[in-house]
Amino acid sequence: VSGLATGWRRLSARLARAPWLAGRGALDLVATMTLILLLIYSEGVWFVRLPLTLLAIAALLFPGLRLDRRLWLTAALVLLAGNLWTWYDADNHQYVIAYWCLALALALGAGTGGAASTRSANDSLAQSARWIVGLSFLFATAWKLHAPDYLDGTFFHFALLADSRFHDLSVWLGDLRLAELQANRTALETLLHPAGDLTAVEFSGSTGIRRLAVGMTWWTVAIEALVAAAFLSPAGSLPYRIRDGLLLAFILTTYLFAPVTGFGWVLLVMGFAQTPRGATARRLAYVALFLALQLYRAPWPRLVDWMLGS
Amino acid sequence: MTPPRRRPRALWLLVPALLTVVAVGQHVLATASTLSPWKGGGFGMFSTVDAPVARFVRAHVVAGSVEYAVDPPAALAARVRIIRAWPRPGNVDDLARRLARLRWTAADFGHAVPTAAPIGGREPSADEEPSEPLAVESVRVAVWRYRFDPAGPGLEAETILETTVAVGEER
Repeated sequence: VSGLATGWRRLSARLARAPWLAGRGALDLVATMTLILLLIYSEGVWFVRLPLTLLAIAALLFPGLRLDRRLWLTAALVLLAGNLWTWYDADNHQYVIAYWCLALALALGAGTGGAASTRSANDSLAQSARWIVGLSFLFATAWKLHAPDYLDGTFFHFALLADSRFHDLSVWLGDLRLAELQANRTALETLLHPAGDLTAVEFSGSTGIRRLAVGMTWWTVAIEALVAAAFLSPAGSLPYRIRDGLLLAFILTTYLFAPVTGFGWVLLVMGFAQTPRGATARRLAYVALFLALQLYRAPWPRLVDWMLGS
Repeated sequence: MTPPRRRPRALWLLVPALLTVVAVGQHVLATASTLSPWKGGGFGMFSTVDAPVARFVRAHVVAGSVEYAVDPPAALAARVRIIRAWPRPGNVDDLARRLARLRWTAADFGHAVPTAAPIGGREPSADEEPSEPLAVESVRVAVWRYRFDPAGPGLEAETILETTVAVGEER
């Protein structure tokens, strides 16, 4: 660990003057990362996906468009209209991406060429990013404290037994067999059958799942509350100073098991945008994790099992 | 030369303000009505089992003394998804009226419960007797949601909303 930390510090020192980690270069990197996010993770109806894809491709091909506020305002309006139109399908991160594009549009003035306007745009983006992250986590925490079936572990218990996104985790750490998960899936489908008349079905579980659910419940609500407190704390306070570590810890632990890469990416872009000038190591960590999050998509538990021959 | 226009410094506040208005509004609606905490931009995902996928629609057409279970056709899929996210008397009633306007024929998709399918939904095979349209008297639509009880049998479903529309009164 100490070797890794030393290596990271050396790399950060070497990159401290890298043009893409400061000033207009950093602004350009934020815009580029957001464009990649729009290109890969724009979801929903065609009239959202198509214009966003075209806008993203155009701005990636022609760098002059990347810091044009009209492009970001169009992207924000398309996303907001899409969220309004398909509110019953839109996930939280689709709202966050829309807010972030709007923040970019508001931060980028007509004269972004000068050093003063670049600094002003960076400052405005940093403020927006801190508030979007802080408020998103605040409301997520509020829901977890308020929901009737979260704090007692019921939600994650159910997710581990029925949500296919958690199946690897359930098998790996929850002592549950794939056949039991499949049986739960079949029971759920029977309950939901349009011609069904059942009002209850049985589920298979394990003590390991219960323990895992309780651990995930408390870790998630604790880290989300800490991120909210840190990002909304006054500048200079202790929580404020450790905010990047908390956000990175949340992303590292959450998206390993909940593969919502689009949400992870927008958090990383905003995390990068709100770091102060000169915080090279933290900026580098956000960029590194932006790349690494794609590696999370590999079926690691199954690969480890395969390598161990089990 | 025209000087560059200066934007108000506090313009960035617009985004956090918009986020807060949407999230607070969603929290109020989901607490006071049947809106799923997962939807509406309030950051309630992964906080409760009560997601739209935990809600389901059961619809029946009544013909004679028999209740036939029906699966709403694909053309009504978006309406069903809206109902699962936020069931309200108005949209459940609207679905029932739309189902009542369709013509139904007895069908069997391999389930013990009698079922019906909308006419035109599929072509009958060559060796199949053409079915007569059912004389549907009413349509009943119920919105259910399941809850998970870790100490109990598993999933237990309960009705959130239910409506019945008599054929002839659906317009």
